[in-house]
Amino acid sequence: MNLKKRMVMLLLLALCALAAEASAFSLFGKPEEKAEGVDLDLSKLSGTVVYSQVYNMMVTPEDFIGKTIRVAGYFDVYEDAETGNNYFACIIPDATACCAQGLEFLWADEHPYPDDYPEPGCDMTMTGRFETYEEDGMEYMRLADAQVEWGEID
Amino acid sequence: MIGTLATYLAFPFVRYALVVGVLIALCSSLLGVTLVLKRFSFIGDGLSHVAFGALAIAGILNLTDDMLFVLPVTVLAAVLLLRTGQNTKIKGDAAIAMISVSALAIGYLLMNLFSTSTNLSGDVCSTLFGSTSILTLTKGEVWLCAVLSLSVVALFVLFYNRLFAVTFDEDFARASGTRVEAYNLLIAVVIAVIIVLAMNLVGSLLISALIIFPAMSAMRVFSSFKAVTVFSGVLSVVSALLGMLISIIYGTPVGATIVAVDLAAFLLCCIAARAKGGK
Repeated sequence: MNLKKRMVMLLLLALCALAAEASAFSLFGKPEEKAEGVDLDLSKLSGTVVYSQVYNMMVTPEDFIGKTIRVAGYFDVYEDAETGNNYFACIIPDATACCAQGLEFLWADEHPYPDDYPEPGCDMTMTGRFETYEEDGMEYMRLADAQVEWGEID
Repeated sequence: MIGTLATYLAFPFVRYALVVGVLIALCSSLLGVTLVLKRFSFIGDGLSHVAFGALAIAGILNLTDDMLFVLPVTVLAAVLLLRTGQNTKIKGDAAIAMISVSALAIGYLLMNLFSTSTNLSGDVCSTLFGSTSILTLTKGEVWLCAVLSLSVVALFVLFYNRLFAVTFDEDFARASGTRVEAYNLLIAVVIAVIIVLAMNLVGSLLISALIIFPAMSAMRVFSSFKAVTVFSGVLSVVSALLGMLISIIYGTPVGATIVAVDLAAFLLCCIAARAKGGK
């Protein structure tokens, strides 16, 4: 009987934890921990959390549109052979290093490629406004008006 | 430290992961005691490989909800495996080994031949090692995991006495009127549910650790079924919570970190047992 009581208590605790989730504090509601003008600063967080957060941004972009986001990773570029367009991205790998999320960015102001860009693989930190756009009937996400810092940031 | 933790807890997916992870750890440890005592410690490994194979087929078939396919297949495999030893030519451990490697090989083969994914190695790696699956659950998946986990715990509590009887002496349980086959079927279904849930937490290669370590650790320190079950549940929950927090704060792989904490807990229990002058 004692065991049953303990189990019921554990069940109730689990249900309480789930219920608490509904009224939990907001992700964007802790201004004292963010850099100035940044709604979501991912640059100081662990790789596991940053990867998961960027994954969630790709799955539910509507929750993040218009937010200013700061994130660190490494630079990569995709060259579309058909159109000749270049797409620039910040790559965020997961902890097991088997998966990575790429977050496209549009560098603010004029920056010709490849003159102003480093080699792919270079560490980078970027701050920009999250937005979605359509191309060939597909929806993509990116950070627009991004300020980019190359190299590892302390 | 508290400030860092609060920063991470502000992320909804971190809170989801902690709740689901704790529930999965709790129900896997409860059944772990029964499985270890019935000499079926390795069934978790076998079934997780079956679930991997089923997941590969679900991916190829482009099923929107792969759980609807993976769960029944894993339940079927669990029933077949637990029936071995009763009128079968291939006995327990050999049957588990054969089903395990066959499902793993066929799953990987099918993924290679027919997968439409652009990141096959990533898909395989995240299924085998969990990657950050527990941190990328949708709200619907969180609720499904929570409901299934709580159902498993509720079933265990409701049928505790019968499971106890079936675990220790099937013949005696049968003689005393317990429907042993029905309870073995219940155990098989519950194990399959746990395996499918735990794939999100630690990946299919590490599931056995969630089932075996807490039970074995508890058996170092306690000797009664009730004490072992309760301590195993508590230890599993604490280890999973600690493993997830370490992983979230320091950026280590979730599944591997939880298993490392489980191993550390087992070693501590061994030392405690030695200190007590026991086993």
